[in-house]
Amino acid sequence: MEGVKTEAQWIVMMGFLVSLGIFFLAIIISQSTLVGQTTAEGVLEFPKNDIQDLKHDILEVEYFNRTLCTNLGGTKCGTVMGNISQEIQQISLYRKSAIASFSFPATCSGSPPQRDVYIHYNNGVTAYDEYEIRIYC
Amino acid sequence: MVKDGAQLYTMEGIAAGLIMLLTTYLVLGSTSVYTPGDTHITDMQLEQVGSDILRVMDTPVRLNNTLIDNSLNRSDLEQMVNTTNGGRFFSTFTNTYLCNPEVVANAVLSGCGDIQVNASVWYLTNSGSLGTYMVPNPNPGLSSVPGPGVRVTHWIHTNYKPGPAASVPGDMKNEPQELLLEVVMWKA
Amino acid sequence: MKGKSGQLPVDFLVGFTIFILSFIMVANFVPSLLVGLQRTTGIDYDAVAYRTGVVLVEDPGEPAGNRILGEVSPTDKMPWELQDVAFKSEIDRLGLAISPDTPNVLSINKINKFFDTSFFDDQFSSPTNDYRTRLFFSSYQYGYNITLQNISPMKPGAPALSMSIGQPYPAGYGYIRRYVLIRQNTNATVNLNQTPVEYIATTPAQVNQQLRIRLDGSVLYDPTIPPAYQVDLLREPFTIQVTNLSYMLNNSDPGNNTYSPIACRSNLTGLGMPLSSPCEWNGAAPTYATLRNIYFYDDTGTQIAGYYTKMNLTVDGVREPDANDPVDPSPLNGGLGYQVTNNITLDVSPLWPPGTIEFDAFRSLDIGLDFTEPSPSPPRTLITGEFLYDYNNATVPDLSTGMLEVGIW
Repeated sequence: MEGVKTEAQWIVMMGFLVSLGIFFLAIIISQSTLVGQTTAEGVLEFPKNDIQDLKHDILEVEYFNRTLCTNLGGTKCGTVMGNISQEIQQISLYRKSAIASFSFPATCSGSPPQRDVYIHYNNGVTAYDEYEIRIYC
Repeated sequence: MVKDGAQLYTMEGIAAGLIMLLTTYLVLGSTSVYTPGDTHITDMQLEQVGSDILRVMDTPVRLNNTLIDNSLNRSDLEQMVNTTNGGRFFSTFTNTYLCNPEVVANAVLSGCGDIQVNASVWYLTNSGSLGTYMVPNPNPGLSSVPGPGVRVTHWIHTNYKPGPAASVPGDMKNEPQELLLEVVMWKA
Repeated sequence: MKGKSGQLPVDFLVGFTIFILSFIMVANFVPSLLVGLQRTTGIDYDAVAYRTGVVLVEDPGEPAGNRILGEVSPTDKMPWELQDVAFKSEIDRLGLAISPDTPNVLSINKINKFFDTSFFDDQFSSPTNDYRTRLFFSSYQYGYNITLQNISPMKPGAPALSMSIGQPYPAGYGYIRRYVLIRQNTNATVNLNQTPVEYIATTPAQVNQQLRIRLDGSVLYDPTIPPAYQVDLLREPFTIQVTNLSYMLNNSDPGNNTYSPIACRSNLTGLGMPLSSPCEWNGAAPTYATLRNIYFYDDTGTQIAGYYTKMNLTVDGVREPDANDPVDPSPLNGGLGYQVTNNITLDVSPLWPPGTIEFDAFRSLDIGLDFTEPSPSPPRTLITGEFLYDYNNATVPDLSTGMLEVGIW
């Protein structure tokens, strides 16, 4: 290797350095695709309307349970409430890809008569639980 | 005759140039440059608008002091779904709210007339499986093929099985139940 | 390369030139790699518009009083829509919703206050622009245009809603549209000419020359009523119209030269006229009654000193004392003294407690219209009784639908 002349190797070195710099830039840029998300997508991802709608509907179910359901008779009312609970869970799971459930006591108690409603929602990204929605009977 | 000792520099220069160009080609070809998705802004606006319209349609405008009985519907939306009144639903959704000419004249969501809407109802059948039916649209509009669009949903509590019997599937439960109304909006 | 000639070999130059040219080409590619990371559209105006829309439509503002509408504690700050201009700095956030539990249902009083540019500074280049700090939460000089209009008609007698603040739209901007329901104020009419006849004294014991309007918090803030439909007199003004007062005038002794026990009774000072003493109206029944005072009574029936809230008084179509003055019924200072032939209209301001809480979900408040003639004059009117302001007697308007648009640039 004594006859090999090495004076001009600095040019290739410069070339390598520039290449390395470009690769480094590429690594940085590739990271941005992992974390980048526009605000609009962030808004779309958060299920604000779904949760508000679910809460509104469950309170309507609670009102139904307190008023019209009693007219159906005890057994029928129980079946209907069970079915409603299933409907909300199943439809929410298959159409909204979210777990939604609720519960409240069968009767009102206390003075003034009241009961607390519990709502659970989880769509895999956002979880929402509301424990004591106080309803006056 | 000609000294070829300095060809070294030429060679090195070409080699360095080739290396840099090759690298750049590789890099540009592999990284996907992420441009912010401006198209999602329209989706966000449409989704909020659709949810708002369904919420407003589902709110009764006055307090009904008497207990709800089997024949009364609490809100306009409930009544439209329970009577499968697709004409009224779509005309209210589009002409009263989304593209009301008296109100939207000042607004700037252009291309309002291009927005197509369709609606379907999801329910749980007698046997516990998921069922669905479309809300009939008397004026389907320019194109009935949905493009990329926005889906908004609204829960509806109904006190009886929706009718008339010819418009709804037979396997719906004949009792108070929960339905999910799905509305899809897209630009034709 | 070593030598003393000072000239570069051609090969070196060629090689170096090729290198440099390649380098320049590559360097020109690099900005295109980074262009995706730059702010292509500058500030995301649509995001600011969306956020502003949510604050306006789904938030009641700050301060807004208790989340449960009828409850109020002494430490609660006055709701922002009732605040006086001197305390504008107390307003932290502007929101139009009735409560956090009623998204998309807006209060007409908050709407009117929000779009009142004589209260809030709307100047684009003003450093004290009130909307920027209370709605956008930014010192950046956003241009904005916020518009609200109604879709379904407002309540009968109310003008159509078309309000806006801000500047005209430029070429490019962020935008959001929200659909809302608008809750309007309530009113009641006490028609004194109705069948069956009410509000008139038929025995001497009933003569007290005062009509009471009863505002019962436990009725109005009934917790079984959804908050969007509750009549919230703590925050909403209301109007009471008393009509056909002429049917209550004291013509129990129309000059027949015989006295009537009813006509002679005066209980303002607690002294009753002896029943044997004749008292006539000099031959003719009175043609008017005199509104002497407006009193406030608390839960136990005790009169509250001074006035609990302001009101605008209109007697027979004429504003009293004048078009700009709210009535200050101070009985200690001699009181009012307006002759009423037929109608009285009271536009009562919200009952947010000025100090001591006398009205909320657990208390009731009475407003008494007092027509008591000073002793020993016989009463001019036989009005008596109590009108209950509740959901059956008061006119509660339907919710009207509307559309709110927010543009930001």
